[in-house]
Parts: sequence; structure tokens; C-alpha cells
Amino acid sequence: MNEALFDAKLKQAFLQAAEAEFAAPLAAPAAEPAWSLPYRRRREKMLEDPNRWYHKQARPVWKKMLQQAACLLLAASVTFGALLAASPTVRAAVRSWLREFTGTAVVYRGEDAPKPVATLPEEAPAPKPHPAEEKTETPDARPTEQPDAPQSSAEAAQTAEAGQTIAEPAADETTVRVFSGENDSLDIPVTNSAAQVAAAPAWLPTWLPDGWKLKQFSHNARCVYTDQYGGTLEFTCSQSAQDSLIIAGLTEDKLQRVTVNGVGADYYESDGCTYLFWEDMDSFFSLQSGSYGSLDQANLIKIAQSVKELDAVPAYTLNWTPTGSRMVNRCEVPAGGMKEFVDGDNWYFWFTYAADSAGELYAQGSTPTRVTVGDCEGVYWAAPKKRDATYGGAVTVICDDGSEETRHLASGGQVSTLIWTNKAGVTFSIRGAFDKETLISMAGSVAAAT
Amino acid sequence: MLLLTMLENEEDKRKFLIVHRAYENKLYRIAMCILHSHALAEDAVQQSWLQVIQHFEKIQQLPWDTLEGYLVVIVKNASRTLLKKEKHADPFPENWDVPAPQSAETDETKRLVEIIRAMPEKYREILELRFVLEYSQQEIAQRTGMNPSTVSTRISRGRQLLIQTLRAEGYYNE
Repeated sequence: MNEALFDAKLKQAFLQAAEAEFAAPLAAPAAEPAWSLPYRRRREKMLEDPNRWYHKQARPVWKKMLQQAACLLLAASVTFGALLAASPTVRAAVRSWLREFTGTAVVYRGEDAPKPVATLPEEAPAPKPHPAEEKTETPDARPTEQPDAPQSSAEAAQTAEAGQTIAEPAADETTVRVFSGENDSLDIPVTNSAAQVAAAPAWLPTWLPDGWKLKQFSHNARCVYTDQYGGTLEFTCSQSAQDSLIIAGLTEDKLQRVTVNGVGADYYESDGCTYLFWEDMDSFFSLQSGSYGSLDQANLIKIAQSVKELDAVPAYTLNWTPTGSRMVNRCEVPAGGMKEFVDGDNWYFWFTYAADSAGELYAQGSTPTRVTVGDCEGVYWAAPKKRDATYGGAVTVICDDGSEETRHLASGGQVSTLIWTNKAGVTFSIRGAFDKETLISMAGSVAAAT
Repeated sequence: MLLLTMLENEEDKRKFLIVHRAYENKLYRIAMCILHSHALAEDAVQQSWLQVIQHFEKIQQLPWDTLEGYLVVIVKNASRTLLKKEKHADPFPENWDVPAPQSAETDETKRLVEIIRAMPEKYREILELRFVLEYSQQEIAQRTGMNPSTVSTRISRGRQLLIQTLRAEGYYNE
């Protein structure tokens, strides 16, 4: 047998081996996966013009960055100075996102969008006077409640009820105020030492109304916040000219022009939800508030005006989880990350971490108690109820071999939470239908990813 | 670098859409088997379509019943690339145990399939890149982090091991 003939047989054998290895998922019923919105947008662009999409994707990163920098320099030299001279209160965004109304939805597209649409107007209404002062959260802004009795002798040393005085924060320390879903609160001191931060920027709100907490990061760099009543707020930041955002139900008659930091912005109210879209020199932002009560225009604008570029934090991993657990989703952004797991009985649990300037992390459970996580102080909220599949929700997903799998979402009363902050100023949260020992064991295994 | 037009005309685009519609969900399920993450599986599927467009001239010449295996290898490769970012590098297995034949009456190709399925994944990966996707040694070296001479040695050794096994079992005739 000559070499060419053998190589041809070898190729056939590799192809058959590949098909045999994945025979089950290939033969499974063709159920549509729950594609994410960013994936669907990319797919739409790919199917519309595969060659163009390929060329854009295949460009080396350095070329993309060079092109973006060149665009910025050129646009700034031609238009920016002139605009500032003509209207000093209006900052012209160098990269304008384009807005188009389709009749049933609004589409915001980056500048590389193929279809010509109307641009966001550069003129803005006369800016409203800002509030006299920003409301700032201070450790003394709200009363501190005493924690409940500890569960172990080690924890007893941490509580005020044990008779020890909790040391006042030193000059270079700040205090983190953490809240539970039932408005219990506890102050724990955080050492605000210099963190090892990555170079990547991260844009996030730095002010939120009382009661709002950071719940999760999602795959498209979206941050989701929630309050004690179940309200939701989603924040997105895009720095890619290829991105687009489509919101159904927002029509031109619902558009109100407002300003954010002196720049024209779009505000909408629709079906009990509120929306704000704005941009600056580098990014396009959105806030969407809804579900059981939305934030009003004034609050959305205040949140938008607090958006800042935060220092990045390292990625962290959970190195120990209960037997049978597996990770099913993850999202890491410069300012934090979230990993979603199911345990051996297919109950969801979540590991979240964020720079402490990104906001307070969401907790579920009742009556916070102090605990120790390694050499850090933490807070534990116990679930009032044991987990029970009779309550809560369930989702059906396509699992590894193409079969369907039911996963359980514990109801609020079945979820415990552990939150702590390390010496680098990163706050962590583990939420799930577990007992305290399990949460602390997982917390003890957290380490920076290598 | 001259960027060639991957899909040269509307007919190519029509064929690509047919392939996409037929295999998108399947590629996702395979990526999920490997990555166990919806987000990473989406990334792997997207990377796979990049590969398909890049090599479409070759792909559209494949018989339809061969196309499936080819796409499986592409999405496997894309998934492995993503997986490598998550895991530490394991040592490369220089040898492995060849399994005994499942049946005394199997033909040469089927016997090859048996051996390949028992092959350590790292070995299988570079041989798939070479013999199925027809990457050059330089391209394989870039993807795997090995140097080109190591790639060449391992491809040659893997191929020789397969030939020796087949010869010893009476399949490979000179």
C-alpha cells in the first residue's frame, strides 16, 4: 500500500472515529439551544454576509486596535475641536452609535453597521442643573444591627455579643455594609490595600439607590442588579463598533431626549420598564430597569452619571465544590466574574466576585451572622427552609449527550449566602441551597486563577 | 496578505447556509459535551464557522456523508482550543496501549477507527489536524504550542505506530 493511499484511509478512519465518538449528540433530536443575544447578533451578521464577517473576525487584534486608534485620531482632529468650540456643554462622541426605529423596536448599532441609519443628534436639550450634592454612602449613613449569636466558638470571637469590641476601621480602611434580603445589615471592616489589578478597563456604575445590589455578571458583559423587592436593573457597556442592541416595544413616540454628563441620551418608558441609552468617547452604555417596579428617569440618569472605569480584578476559581457538582456557565469581566454550577442533584448555585467599588453583592437568607473565611471576615445568611423541589423553579436544558436535563432553582427561602472580602479588596459571594459548613468549605477553596 | 474571497458567489453562500442550518445545533451539542458551558460552546461554534468559511472551497467538495465527520473534527478542535485556556497543560503521552480488536473479522478501516478511538486525545489532536484538516506543521505548532520539529516527530511516530499495529495484525499490506 503506498503512503498516499494509507493517508487517505487514515483520514477516513479519523472522520468515522469522530462521528462514532459523538454519535449520541449527532443523533439527538434537533432541539434549538437557548442562544444568547450576542450570539444571535453575530450569527445574523455572519449569515447576512459570511465573507465580510469572516474578514472582520480574522483580523489580528493589533490591526483592530490600530484601526480604532486611527479612527479616533482622525475624527478628533477633524470634528472634535470644532464641536467643542461651537458648543462647550456638548461632548461629541467620536464613535457615534446609530439609532433606527423599525416600527416595533429600536435598534442601536455600532458604526460598522452595514445599513445607513439616522445618527444620534449632537445637539442636546439644555442640561438640567445637577443635584446640589451627590448622595454618598458612608459607614454611618444607616444604623448597624447587631448580629445573631454565632454557631461556633471561633465565630464567637468575632461578634459584638461575645463582649469584644469590633475595632474601628483604620484610616486606610473602609467599611463594607452588607444587607440581606430581609434588610438585616452588618458592617464589616475591609482592608483597602493596593490590589494587583490587570490593565483592562471596566466600566460600571458606582452609585445605586438604597437597597440595590449587584446580583450577577452575564456573558455579554452585562451587569444585573436587584433590590429587596425583586426589581431588576441591567447595565451594559459596549466598546465594539460591531455590536448592536435591539429592544422590542420601544417606538419613536416613546423617545425622550435627556442628557448624561452633558451628552445627549435616549430615555424611554414602556410597559412598566424604563430605559436609558448614552455614549461617551469610547463606549455605548445602556440601563434597563423593570420587573416589579422600575427606576425612574432621575435615578437612571444619576446611575448613568456615576459610571466610571474601575480597576480590574484577577479571575478567581472555586477549587472545591460538593461531590457531583459541575460548572454550567461562567462570565468574567474586568471588574468581576460569576460562575454558575449545578450540584450532584442538579440544584443551581453561584459563585460571584467583584471589585468592592462595583457595589454590594446580593445576598439571600435571613439574619446575617459573622463567620471566618480563612483569615478574612465574612457574613453568612442562613436559609430559613431546607431545599425542596416542591417549591422554587425548574429549567430544562440539553445536556452533554443531547438528552434533556431538569435543573432546580431554589426559591428565595431555601438559599443561603456567604459573602466575604479578601485583603486585595475583592468581595466574594457563594449562594445556594447549602448549609453553612458547605459554603465555608467552598469559600476556603477560592483562589486566583493561574 | 491577500485576503481571498472565501465564498465566491451566491451559490457558495447558498450552500453555506444549507450547511449552517443542518449542523449548527449539532455542533453546539458536541461543543457542550466537551466544554460543559453554554457560553464557551457558543464561542466554539462561532470559531467553527470561521474555519468552515475559511476552508469552504475544500468543504463543498466533500461528499455529504463525509461532511459530518469533518465538521465534528472542526468543532472538536475549536473546543479543545478553548479548553486549553481553562486547564493546565498535561504532559504529552508518548505512547499508549493499543486495544485488542473487537472482532476477528473487522476490516482495516474499522480496525483503524478502533485504534484511533483509544488514542490519547493529545495524540489524536495533532493527527486530526494533519490528516483531516490538512494543516501544515507550522500551523499545528502554533495551535498546540509545540515547536515544528516536535510536531513533525510526533506525526511521524503516530503514523508509524498505526502502521506497525496494522501490519502486526495482518491488515497493512506493502
